Amino acid sequence: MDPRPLHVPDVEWEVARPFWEGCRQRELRMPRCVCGAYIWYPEPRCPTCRSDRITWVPVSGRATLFTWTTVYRTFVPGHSARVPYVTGIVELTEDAKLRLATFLVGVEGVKLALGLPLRVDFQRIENDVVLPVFRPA
Amino acid sequence: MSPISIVGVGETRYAKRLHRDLDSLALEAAEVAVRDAGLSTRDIDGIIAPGVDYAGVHELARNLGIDGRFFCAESMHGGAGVVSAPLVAQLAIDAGLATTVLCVQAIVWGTERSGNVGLPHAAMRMKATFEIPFGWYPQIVHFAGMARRHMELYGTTEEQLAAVAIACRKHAALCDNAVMRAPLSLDEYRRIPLIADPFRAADCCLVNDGAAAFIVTAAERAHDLAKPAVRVLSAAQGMVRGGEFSTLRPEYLCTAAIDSGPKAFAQAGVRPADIDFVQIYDNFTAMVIEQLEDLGFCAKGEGGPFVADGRIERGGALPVNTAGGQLAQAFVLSANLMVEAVRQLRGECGARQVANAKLGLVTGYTGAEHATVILGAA
Repeated sequence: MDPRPLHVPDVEWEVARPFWEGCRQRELRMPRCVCGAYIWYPEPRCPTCRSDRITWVPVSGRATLFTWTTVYRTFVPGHSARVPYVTGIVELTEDAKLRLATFLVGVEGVKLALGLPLRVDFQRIENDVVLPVFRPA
Repeated sequence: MSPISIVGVGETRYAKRLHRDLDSLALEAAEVAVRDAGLSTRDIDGIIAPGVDYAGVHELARNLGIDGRFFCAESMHGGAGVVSAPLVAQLAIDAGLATTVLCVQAIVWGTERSGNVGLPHAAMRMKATFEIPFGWYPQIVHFAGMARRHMELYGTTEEQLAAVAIACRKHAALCDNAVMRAPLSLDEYRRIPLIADPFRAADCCLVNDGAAAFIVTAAERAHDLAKPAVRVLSAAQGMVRGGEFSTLRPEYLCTAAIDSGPKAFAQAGVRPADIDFVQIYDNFTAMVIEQLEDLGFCAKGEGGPFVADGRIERGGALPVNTAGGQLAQAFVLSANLMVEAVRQLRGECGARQVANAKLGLVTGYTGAEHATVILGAA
């Protein structure tokens, strides 16, 4: 059994390590195949062309709001200090299929709506763990 | 394929906690179903028991007195595994691998998982990495996201979500074996605290213990048995694009009922307007609304008004989850919904009986998988 608390991702998992390296440098990176297709969530092969020549490339960090929910009761002990929090799905502007689940921050008093423009920001939760979060652009 | 029928159904008592072993619950439901059919446990030569592990299946067979060879299979998972069981049974019967197939589902989440029902999701590494650290967990959050987008796109309201919960509670009050029999008013619903907006506890399926079972055999054998045989007019499986991760699904507001539903209607040769009642996998109120749309009972986006004004209550245009469903009767991954559909079609449901019930539809799903069956009275 993995002893890591639920709210902390394994930033050393080889499948996702470049994502977390980017976040530590305040840069959002997404996996992209040599054929040009973005691949999300990360896969060992490109579903479009079957190539395994995939690299993590920086993206703009701009996104729009796809959906959201305000969570009043969490089942993750490490999130209890955040409650109530707003989490949601955002679509990156590079490609609508790049949908990220993320915290929405700076939204107090903001009327949330589908398509709301957002930009990435970064939150350090542990020494080597930095989460990409999104705030109104 | 040759026609099949459901000839027996059985349930244990449903309760928040029964403090009983999963295998013993499965055995009890199986025995009740076998007796209901007028069969002997030794007549069973096929077992479909989604969620029962290798040892559990063989313990069940041993306890039933199945002495020797039997057919065993499972297709799909969770509620989709239960509702697609008649299809698997039909394949086995047609192939000569079995004659009498027991389908049984037991659950002890009430005893085992009262804290957090989301742990299997935490075991998925992609979710543990890209969803849970961002608060996108557990299931209530996934489905609240769908409900919110449905509300924003189509104008679905809190009152319409409440209408599903209220209907299920009304129906459960007419059922002796239901966990949540107290009625619910719209005012009471509104006073329940939000857990993940727009969902309250009343929007979520129960977490309980219990088991339910049904017996499938060839239609031609079914006439000789104890109860009127309920005909399986179609059983279909469906899959949705994007797989397990709901965040990634292109048809984000559809279940795979958009795949299983049309197949089930085509195979049965009936239309949604012909159906007398439905038993829908109600993990959350909003998913009843979405599945009614996916199945073609109304257009996409019109599910909210469709469930309002008592239309899905007993006596309404399309009664839904007539024993209270998984929101109020018990969460048994659709196995209780199958049992209730059979009893409605036999006319055994007393105060909650749907008048002149001839055709019923049942759904079950989990994540990317969905199954729809259409059943007909004898």
